[in-house]
Amino acid sequence: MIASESVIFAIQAGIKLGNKINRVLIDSSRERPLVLPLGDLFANVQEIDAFNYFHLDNPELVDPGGPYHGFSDAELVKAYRTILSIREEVGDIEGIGKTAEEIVMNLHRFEQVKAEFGSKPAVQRILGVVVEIGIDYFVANPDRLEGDSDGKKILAAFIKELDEIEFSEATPKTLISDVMLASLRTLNKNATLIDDDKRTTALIAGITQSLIGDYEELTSPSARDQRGELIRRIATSVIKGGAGAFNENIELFLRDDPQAKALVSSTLSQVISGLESKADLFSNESVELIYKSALTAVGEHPDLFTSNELLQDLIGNTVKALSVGNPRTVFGSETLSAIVQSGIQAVAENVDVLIDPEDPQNELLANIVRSVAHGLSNTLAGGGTVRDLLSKKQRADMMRIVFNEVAKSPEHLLAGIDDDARRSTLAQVIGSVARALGEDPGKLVTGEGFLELLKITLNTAVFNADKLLKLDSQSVGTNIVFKVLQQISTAVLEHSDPRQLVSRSVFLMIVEKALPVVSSNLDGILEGGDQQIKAVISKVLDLANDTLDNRVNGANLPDLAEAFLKRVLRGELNLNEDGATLNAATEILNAA
Amino acid sequence: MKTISKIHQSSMWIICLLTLSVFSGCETLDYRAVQAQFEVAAQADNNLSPSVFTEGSVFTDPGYQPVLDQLTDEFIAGLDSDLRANAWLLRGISEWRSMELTDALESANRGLESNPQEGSRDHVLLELLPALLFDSEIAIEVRNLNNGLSLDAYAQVKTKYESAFAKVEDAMDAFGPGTPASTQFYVHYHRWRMLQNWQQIIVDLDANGQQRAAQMREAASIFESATLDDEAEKAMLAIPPSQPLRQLIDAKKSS
Repeated sequence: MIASESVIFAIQAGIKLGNKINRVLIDSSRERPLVLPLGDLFANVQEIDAFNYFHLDNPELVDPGGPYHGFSDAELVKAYRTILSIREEVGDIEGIGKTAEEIVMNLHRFEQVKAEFGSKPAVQRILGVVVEIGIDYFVANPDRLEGDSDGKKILAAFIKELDEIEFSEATPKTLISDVMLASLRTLNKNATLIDDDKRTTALIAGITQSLIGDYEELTSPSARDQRGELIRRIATSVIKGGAGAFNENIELFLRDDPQAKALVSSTLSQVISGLESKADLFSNESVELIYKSALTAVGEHPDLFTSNELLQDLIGNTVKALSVGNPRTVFGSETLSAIVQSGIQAVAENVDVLIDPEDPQNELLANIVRSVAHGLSNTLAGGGTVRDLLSKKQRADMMRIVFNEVAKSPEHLLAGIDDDARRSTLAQVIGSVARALGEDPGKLVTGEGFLELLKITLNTAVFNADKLLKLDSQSVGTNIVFKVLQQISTAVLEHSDPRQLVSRSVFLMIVEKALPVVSSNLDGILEGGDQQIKAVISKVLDLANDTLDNRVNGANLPDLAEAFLKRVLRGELNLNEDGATLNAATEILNAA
Repeated sequence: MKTISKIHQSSMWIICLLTLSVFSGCETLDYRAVQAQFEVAAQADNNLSPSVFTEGSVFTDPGYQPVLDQLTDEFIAGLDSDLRANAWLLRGISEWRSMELTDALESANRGLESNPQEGSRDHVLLELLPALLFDSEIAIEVRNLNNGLSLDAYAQVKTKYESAFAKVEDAMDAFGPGTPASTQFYVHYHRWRMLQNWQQIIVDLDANGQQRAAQMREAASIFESATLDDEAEKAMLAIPPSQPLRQLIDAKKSS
């Protein structure tokens, strides 16, 4: 029999147990982790971010005038993504968001600037090209675009000038590139110039105007093509030349000079016009030097050179002269650029002397070239091979010497040049020297020696041209200077000179001393006959190789010859009297 | 014989006790089944597109009906009192997701009346649920429009959102030492979500940029933030980056 207490206990226990288990179950159910729904996100988060970015945080970007004014919400989302990309590209540092906005605002301003040229799509394109080139350059040279850098100044000057040029849609990108990059690369090294904004601007603006502006004015495709090639080649050189002129002539193109740009531009235009016909013969270095000299000349005498095309003519006519006839034969095409350069340099350094403002001779340099060429031609120089003696450099140096000598005494050396170049003083002197050296001038002079001889002769002739030269005849044979040189040459060549005292340098010393003596004792020449000089030199050589071989050497032989020449030409010494001759020589040597 | 009989009797008593205990927890076991069903529905709900404007919208039935069929008034009344709040919560959420918004509000109220443990998940979420309902109600209204709201019509929406965020505030006030971190993160997530929805409505207003910007600032006046976006940022930052809900937000921002 089951006890009632047991049943009741069992029931109570069961209830307690059940309650306990149930409580555990309930608690675990109540606290059971649940997956909960995330709900609905109707928003386009990026669209909201874009809206807040533009309308709340940066309203200037969407306000009237801002780069994103008038954009739809969808377009703003795209723009926002772009700005996020810019931020990512620039770097995620504090405050960089502003930099991204600055970039956008500046790009927008740039687009507005371009848009201002709405009717000039060519200009818009050029601006784009400038940016493109600038990016390439400054990516490679990032330090040159920082702060108030030289690069920025140069670029600013270049861009400013572009505003003044009427571009065509056919303007090649490379043209802009070459001028712009030449400016950036070259002027970077000119710290003094760059520090002066106005002079930098004048230089770059003037050169850009000339190079690109003149290009734009050409109408034929072939002319444009040719000019484009030239610009590509010389852009750096002209900028270097211009910078050189500015740097070496601080007083030129003063910073407030409103004419500066125009002078720089017109000078370059004239230079290019002058040399263009033979542009391929002009090295970059010679273009640089020509422009530098030309700019210096123009800077010092602006009125003289800008009221006409004198510079262009000087260069152009010289180029022409060197390209045909005797000059072409004598000088060849290889020396053309160097000759033009030295000519312009001489003009630049001696404008007051060489250029008459009332009657500027635009054939001046050309006439000089022709005169020299005539002087060396067969007509005047005879069958000798003086030309062959001279290297290309020496031929160019010869012209430099001639230009400088002409600059010292233009009235004398240029006399007769306009009438007949062959009868000019210059041609006659050079011809006299060349012909006097005979068939084999190499026995007497080297190339350098010839140039020295030329200089000596010019220096002497210039002081007594009317006596030493006969300009009424083309033939140099009638010139006293020719006779003197010829007699000295013959004496030296015909004498055996066993001691070999008369080297090429001694020969030059003899001439250098003899010419002035002759020039100041012409009666002796005229009365004593043609061969006196030869006789004197021969006699001196006899003494040097015989009786006075212990007293005379290569160093004092020219002095002895000079002294003998003086006495003989003055009638103070008779060469036929051996005793008197010996005594005179001894006396001269003792007095030295 | 007597021994065998005693053993037999003991076994019988044990079996009776166990049977009694089992029968007394049946409702709880049934409720656990409902909970499991709810989880399946919620999982399916979360796997659908969250945007009302794309296909597969949650406005299609994600599968909460079986839960609702189970969680009748009678069933909930039959549950242990400690389970009723949870049950009302599940019912309220199921009604919310099934767009039975009025019923869901009533469920929330009844859930709170069933005295959930203070600071518990169920307490906090029952406080939050009305806010979620207001947000969905607004979404339905806006969805029916072809264009953005006019500024006049928006005024009512603004008032509703202000009420909704007052409820969110109530939910946050219910946080206590015992409130699970996951629950708090869940509240902050919905805060962020609702702020995004509110901002979208403003962005879509039929007004110019300056007017809409002004509304953005004006809307934030109920918070201690300058703009709704600033407030949304705060909600996002309240969830640690390692948390899945935060990672979800980050993914939404960068997509």
